[in-house]
Amino acid sequence: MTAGDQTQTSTETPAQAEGPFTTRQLLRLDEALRLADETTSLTFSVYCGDLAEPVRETAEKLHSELPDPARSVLLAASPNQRQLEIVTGEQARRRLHDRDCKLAAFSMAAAFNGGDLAGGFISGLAMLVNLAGRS
Amino acid sequence: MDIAQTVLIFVGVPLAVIAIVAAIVYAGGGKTRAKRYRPGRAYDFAPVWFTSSAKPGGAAVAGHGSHELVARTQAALPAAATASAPGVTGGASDRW
Repeated sequence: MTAGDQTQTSTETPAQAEGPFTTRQLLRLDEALRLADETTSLTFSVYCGDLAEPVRETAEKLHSELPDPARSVLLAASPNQRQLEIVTGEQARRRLHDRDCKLAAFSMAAAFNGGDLAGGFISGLAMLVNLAGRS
Repeated sequence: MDIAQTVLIFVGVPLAVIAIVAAIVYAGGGKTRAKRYRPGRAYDFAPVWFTSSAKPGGAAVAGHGSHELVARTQAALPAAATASAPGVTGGASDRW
């Protein structure tokens, strides 16, 4: 599934090798995302890369590119800017209040500060799932 | 034991051991340790964007693995993508 124009067809492309995550981390992220979607019936997505200024608007723009923005939650982090954004759609926002998101953002920032990108995303996802509850 | 043998054992053997250890260390992919994000250092990886493997239509994709979205540079994002009205989306921001 892609928010862009083309889908990544091969899984062993050099582009994947350039990513910040190891294979094991990718598997853990995949599992965390799958569980999050299944448990909450919201769509979670994870973005890791530069976000153009203004960061919040860029993250919202990325969020609006997802197939169903209203029921989607985007976790975006920009390691260069050392900034992270959690964007919830209209429907998702009823389950995940801004206060809940802030709590998850704290835990993600703590992990990122220790240099653990994958761990931060996974702990953020886990917290958001717990706070959203089962659907 | 003549001089040549002594030198061979007490100099040659340690040197050989050092060479073998050095070869193992440098052959074993010294690149893997550098491939890591460290706070405060430059982060020059390609942007990545993942969702779980459900298709937009709701059908699950055969196989497994999160699908990598094509993370585009911000300039490539269509202008019409600002469809979300202000105040509709929620969330939080943080820095580290």
